Amino acid sequence: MHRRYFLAGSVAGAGAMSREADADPRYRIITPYKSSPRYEIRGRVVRVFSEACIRETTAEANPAVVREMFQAGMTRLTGDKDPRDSWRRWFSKADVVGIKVNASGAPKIMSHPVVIAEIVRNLLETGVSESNIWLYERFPDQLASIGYARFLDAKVNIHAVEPYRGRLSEYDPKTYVEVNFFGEEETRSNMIRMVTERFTRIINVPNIKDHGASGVTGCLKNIAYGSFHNVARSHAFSKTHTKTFIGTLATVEPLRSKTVLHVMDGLKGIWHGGPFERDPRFAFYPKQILFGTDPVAMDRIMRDVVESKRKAEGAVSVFDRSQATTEDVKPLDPNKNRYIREPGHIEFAAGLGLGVADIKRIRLEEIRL
Amino acid sequence: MILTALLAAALPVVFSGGDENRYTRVPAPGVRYRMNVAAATSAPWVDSNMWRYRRAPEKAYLADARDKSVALIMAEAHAEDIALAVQAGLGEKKEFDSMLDFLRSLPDGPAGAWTDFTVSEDGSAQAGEAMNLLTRRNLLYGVAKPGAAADFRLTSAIANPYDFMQQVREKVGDDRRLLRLFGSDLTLARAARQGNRVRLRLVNYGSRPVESLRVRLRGSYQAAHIKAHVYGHGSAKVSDLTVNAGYTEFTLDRVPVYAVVDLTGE
Repeated sequence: MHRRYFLAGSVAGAGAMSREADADPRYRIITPYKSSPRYEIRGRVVRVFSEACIRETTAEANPAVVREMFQAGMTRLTGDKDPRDSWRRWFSKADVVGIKVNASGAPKIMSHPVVIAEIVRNLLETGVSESNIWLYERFPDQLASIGYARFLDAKVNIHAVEPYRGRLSEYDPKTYVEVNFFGEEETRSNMIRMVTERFTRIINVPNIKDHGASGVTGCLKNIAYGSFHNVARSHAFSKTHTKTFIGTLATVEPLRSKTVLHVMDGLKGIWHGGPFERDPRFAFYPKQILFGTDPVAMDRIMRDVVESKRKAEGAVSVFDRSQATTEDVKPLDPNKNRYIREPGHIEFAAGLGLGVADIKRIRLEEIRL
Repeated sequence: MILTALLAAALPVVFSGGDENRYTRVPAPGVRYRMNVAAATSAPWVDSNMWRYRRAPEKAYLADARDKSVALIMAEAHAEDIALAVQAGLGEKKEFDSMLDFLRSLPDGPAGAWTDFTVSEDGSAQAGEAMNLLTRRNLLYGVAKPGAAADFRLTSAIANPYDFMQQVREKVGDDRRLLRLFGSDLTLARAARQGNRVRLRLVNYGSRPVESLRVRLRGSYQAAHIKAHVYGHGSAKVSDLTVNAGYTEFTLDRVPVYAVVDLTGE
């Protein structure tokens, strides 16, 4: 029998009414699960580049090159000679593995099927059975548009938990974050039930993207907003609570302990209009894959990639907090944005103990193939 | 052909339809799936008559159900225990009969309303809108008799009914509310209690059944003492029951237009 316990603070009740407008919301985390040990390398990120990994004209990835990138990245991350030993640090025959893909911008930008296929191939080599591998997302329309099945063994599961918006059936009623942002009645965000009850390990596979609300979206947002329901409520008018909500969600057990590996697919990225590719000119090709166990450190590195590209394109910084930027918004103007972005969600998550955000303390190792 | 029937409490009475002046007409309930401008959520707008019924429960009402959801019209009237005449065409007859059968099948339940607070109101449009918003947020209230003390006064001086509703909500406190529903913005509830017996009536205004409606209710109840009667499905079990700190939570797997849950407390 699980014990129900409170991890943080007391709930605001309907406190959104009485809070100062810019005060951080008060969260209450309800979970019967506790932290469990896993192999972690905090503050370490391995980035592998290859010019040949993707063809820019078609966005077609090269499976052989991607495999080479994985071998180089995983062995450098763990220090093992054989990549199979690297994977065995987290995965074994007994595991049921969830792969949190990113389909929010599909079919134009998503965890590339070739990258996912390479992850699945490595899992199979560790002895995980096809039927115990689950690609998961929240919404089926986005997931179906990618066509992962064409790249995978038929026994690998591809599953979306929310066939229509708001359906709670596949969320865990006993594991949730409660918060009242803007006076909404639905104050709970429940964790996906497969995460709490079925998966023993999770691999997080985000992209490198600008994000209109959170500034950028990488490891933290993909695993947090992609594993709970009722999360879009954190934005209203030009205000977004992504700064605090993303990290808070990512701390909730068992999601935190089960998410053992992050593989950031940076073959293709989005520098404005994310999480979608609103216009082809906002797509770019960083041609890299990042490997790590520290989602904060990886996102910190990723933020620089997006910010540098925006700077090169003459777009305002993701740190811009001018109210004027949010006024008279035109969707294809990279100097306009509906929300004041919150790229500081990465530092906030570091403060919650999720990883290292201080660039001086991040050990970034780069490999060029 | 027009079917007309009077729904009074749980027992319908066929009625001639000749004396329309006896009735107060109400619009057909439903949902408008429009996006609120820059809202925190995309929750649709619920058109409910429950606040009207609560405001004047002694009146008899008349609703035109032709080409509308007659089951929903009957459900919200039953939930509020008011007398309602329904005009319906042959196209609604099957649904009308089906809901009537369901209402007849329900065992007797507790009669006394169970509420978090009382309101007094001056009959103004502002007071009416405040009641509407309290109802739509499942902030369970009773309307005090004229001259009687009440926890909140609803008057024409309410400048912004939405803000007023949120202030009431804050004063009551989400954690202390006797009932909360999760998993549907479109389900409105009414509660009744008599001794240790409780009845919840859940009206789903949405066009599809709610799958996995999570209910949080004040009191301690064991699974064996919770009986859900679900329109179109008969009796149903509840799942994922927890009892903690004086509140019970459970999940109803499916709530179509109407469900009634009877509970017996410890």
